[in-house]
Amino acid sequence: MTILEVNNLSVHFKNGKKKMCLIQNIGFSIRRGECLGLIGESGSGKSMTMKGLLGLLEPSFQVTGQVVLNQKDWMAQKPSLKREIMAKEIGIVLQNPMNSFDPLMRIDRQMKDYMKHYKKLSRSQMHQWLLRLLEGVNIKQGDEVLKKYPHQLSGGMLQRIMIAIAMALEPALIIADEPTTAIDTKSQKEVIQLLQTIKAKGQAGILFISHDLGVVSALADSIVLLHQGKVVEKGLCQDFMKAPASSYGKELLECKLKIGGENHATRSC
Amino acid sequence: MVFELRKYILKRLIATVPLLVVVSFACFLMIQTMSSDPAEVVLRVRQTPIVTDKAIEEMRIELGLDKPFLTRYAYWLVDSFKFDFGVSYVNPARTVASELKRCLPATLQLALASVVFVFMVSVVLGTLAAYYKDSWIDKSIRFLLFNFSAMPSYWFALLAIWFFSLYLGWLPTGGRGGFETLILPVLTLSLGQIAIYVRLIRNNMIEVLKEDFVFYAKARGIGPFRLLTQHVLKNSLQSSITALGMSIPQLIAGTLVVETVFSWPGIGRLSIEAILNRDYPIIQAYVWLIALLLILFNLLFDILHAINDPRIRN
Repeated sequence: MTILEVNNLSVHFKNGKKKMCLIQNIGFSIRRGECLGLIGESGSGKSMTMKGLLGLLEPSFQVTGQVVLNQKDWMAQKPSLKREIMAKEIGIVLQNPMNSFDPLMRIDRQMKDYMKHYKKLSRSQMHQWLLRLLEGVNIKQGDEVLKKYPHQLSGGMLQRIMIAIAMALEPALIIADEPTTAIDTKSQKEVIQLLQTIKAKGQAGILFISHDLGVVSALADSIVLLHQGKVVEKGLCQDFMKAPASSYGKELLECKLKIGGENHATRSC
Repeated sequence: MVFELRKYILKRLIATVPLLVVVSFACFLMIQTMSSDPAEVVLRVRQTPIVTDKAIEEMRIELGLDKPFLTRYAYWLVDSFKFDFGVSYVNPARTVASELKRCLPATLQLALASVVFVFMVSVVLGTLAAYYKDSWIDKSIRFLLFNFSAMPSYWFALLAIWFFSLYLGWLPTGGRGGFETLILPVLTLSLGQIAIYVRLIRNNMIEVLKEDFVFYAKARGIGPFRLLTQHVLKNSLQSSITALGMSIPQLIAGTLVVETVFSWPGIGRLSIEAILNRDYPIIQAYVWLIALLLILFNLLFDILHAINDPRIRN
């Protein structure tokens, strides 16, 4: 079943009478249990596509096109309903876990405040539920973690908490925007494993945004390659990794191979 | 957390002690270095017919001015902590402490009412200006505040008296009485401060609104009201809390003009009279009191800041 369908999505930036096109006619779809990798170099418009389709850009940006989420026309929904859908049906994981939590609030309140509107539980039941969610992302000492402020936890830990929050209400779609960029290698591995587990359960579709082709190949079934706000290639991930159809795709993959090769050479020295 | 906070408060309290010593010494030294001889001033103020060298010498002994400088400082410091600042030179029947006790409540009432008013108005206007950044709401708030804050307070006070008291006849022109006597002085005292705080809160809030955690909260479906009240406002008020701590003593010290225009019987007027009469013990006590309040409120608001922000405690 298709969870998310995006057709002709364009984003324009309006500055007085000037209008600049930043994203041009992007289209893709994600099915339940599938992971789509939205790839491209920094500044190619990956994150803007995500913000544009969620309707989270500033008013000076104009978003056009069609977004169908769970068979409903997303763009036509009222703002209040959009917020409810975002809370219940979309789970989000961002790239800077250290800055993504309110620094003045303990973790348990940040998790509770958001969920208590959609999950009617008593105080102790809520606490137990939060502990179970944290256990689900391999955080064993949940009691302690819940009492902490964000600055007292590591980036990897916060990223796993973000995944726990994203999964809490069993959403149909998970959007992960460069979730491995700002964390150490060990945490990166854990995050990828967690996302692989989520994918394997087959309950949610994953939109995985990344510039790291290695990470994408470990997770994505299909890819959409962006360059300067336009789609330059679409297809199955393994086909792209073997033989990219576009010249830009080839260039990108060659860069990766070159860097990979150099690293290898350095190590062997 | 409680332990961390206790440790922080203790650390701050200990750091205050040397500061108190330095400030008190500066206070004492400043008054001592004034050009006129206090003993002579006392004799003249009390309208002694002929001021002779002998009379001055006797007065110096009576006032304890014959003792060495450091001894006088030590006595003054110890006495000041007992709230004993000696007697007024102008009116020996009155002690400085009783004069301060008589005038301080009026000034505190004015200053605290202004702080509450400044804080409430600034939070509302600052939030509106930030949330509707660059819209007509933001522009009109900034335009009005810019104009009001550019007016000298005595000028605004006179205009307000003319309009509200004489033209409309709604409020009294001066004096201290019920709530209605408080409105115009508080308004006059607050306008300049409101302009500062609205700008501070607006700019901080615009910065906070760009933070990742705000985007993350929006992406989790948290509505604008909850976002502003629970996340953005608290994070934007950090620097304003510290600034407000400094504003309270500034307001207490700055009531001078307002108290004079509105005939408000506070310490501002007392200090003006003391300066004109060269009534050294009162001037000295006034300066020391303002310095003490500045240190005290700075400490208090630093602690409040630490309670609000866990990162400072660690």
